Amino acid sequence: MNTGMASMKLQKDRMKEKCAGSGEIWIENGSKMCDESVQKMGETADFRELQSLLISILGSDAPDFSDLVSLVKSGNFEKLGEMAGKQILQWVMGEGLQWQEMGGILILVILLAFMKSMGEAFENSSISLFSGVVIHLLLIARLISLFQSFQSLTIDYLQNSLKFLNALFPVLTVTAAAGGSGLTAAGFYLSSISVSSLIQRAAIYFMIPFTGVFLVASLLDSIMEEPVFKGVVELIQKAVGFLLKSCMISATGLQVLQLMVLPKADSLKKQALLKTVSLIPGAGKAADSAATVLWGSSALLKSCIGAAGMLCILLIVFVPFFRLLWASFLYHLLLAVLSPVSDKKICRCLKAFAAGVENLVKIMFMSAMVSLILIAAAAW
Amino acid sequence: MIHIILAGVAAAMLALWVKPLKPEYALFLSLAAILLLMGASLGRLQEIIELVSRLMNRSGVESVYYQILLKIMGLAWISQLASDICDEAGCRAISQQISIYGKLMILAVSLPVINSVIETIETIFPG
Repeated sequence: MNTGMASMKLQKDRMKEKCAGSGEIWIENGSKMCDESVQKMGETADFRELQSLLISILGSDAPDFSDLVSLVKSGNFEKLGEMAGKQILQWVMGEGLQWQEMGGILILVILLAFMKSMGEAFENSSISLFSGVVIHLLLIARLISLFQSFQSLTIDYLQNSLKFLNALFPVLTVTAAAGGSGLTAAGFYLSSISVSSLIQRAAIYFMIPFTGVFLVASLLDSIMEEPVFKGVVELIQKAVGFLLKSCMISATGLQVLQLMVLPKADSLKKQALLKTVSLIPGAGKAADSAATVLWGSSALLKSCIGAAGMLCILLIVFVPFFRLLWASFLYHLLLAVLSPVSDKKICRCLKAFAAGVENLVKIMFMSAMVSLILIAAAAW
Repeated sequence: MIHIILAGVAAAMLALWVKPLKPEYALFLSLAAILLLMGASLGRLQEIIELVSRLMNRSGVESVYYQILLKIMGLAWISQLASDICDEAGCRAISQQISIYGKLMILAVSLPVINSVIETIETIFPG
């Protein structure tokens, strides 16, 4: 009896081991199948347009987009860190630090103080006034041309990111549609393309010219004894702030609304299809499993493309954003250093310039955030 | 520097002594002293001009504007000198006219700077 019981237990244990072994094999096979499926889908996805855009924006050092997708899929973030490091180095080694530009402004400020005291040597006070105004005007012209270069930097970034989004969304849409999320894909494609182009155009045609008016009005105010354009300056500042917040809220709100409805409708459709397919006698279960693997792989690939797209946006925004941030910091620093010793008008002039650059930083930040939100929602 | 100051004071005292006897000679004496002082200060002025020129080059401002700045300083100096001489000669109306003319000339010379600022402002707004 005991021997019978022991042999039964042994048989049971062997069965268990066998089952466990076959389970592992199934899991292994399943994950291999899934990997192969993702790889095949990735190979068939067309990244050529995205790649040529990346090269035109970032130059020959631009990362390979399909490599980025693979890196994200494998979770190899060391390589991504290396890429970001390369970008920082490129910025620092290039004309990024702008010491020369700031040095030029500092010399003009010193000259202004020098000429002012030299002019005071004459009995005629209007001479010191004239020479002071001339150098002040030269400083203003210099600051405006510098600001213009920052404006073009921001516009270039906005146009590049818009081009990149316009190339990325079709790829994301096709991948999402292959995963059975046709409704979500179509909805997100339409909303993302329209929202991104609307916001980037609002930034290019309204906000950036507004910052120009803001700077000119503030600089002209700095020459006057009393601020004449104070009202205009405050109004523009408020308008830019309002537009920035509105863009951010509208982009986020629209995507959240879509995320609430469309994926659920797609999921319902998918479930209905799976149930119908599984009812087919014989091939039902196999077709069900194949469809699940295909949709899962497509969802994974979509998320990887989305993450790679977000990394590309970060790489595109990195250099111009930090250049503007650094300029804003430098001019605030210059203002802090000069304010105890320099003329009030010069301080007002530098303060206006720093505030103008700060506005550009805000616009670029908002645009990058909107791009990231749109990609994240589309790749969800 | 001391001998220039002493020469100036001596010329002023001499002019004061000559004035009751021959007022026109006092005026010539003052003129001579002014020219002497002006000549002496030109050397120092050269150093200042060189410094301003170096600073302007380093600031990245075009040399045209530097020349304008120098013209302003030169015009201011010459108009002040001429105005002072006329004042000394007792021609107050001429002195004031020279002063006004000097200011107008300075304004005219600085017009390219104003023009350049306006052009720069125009470029900041898209067409």
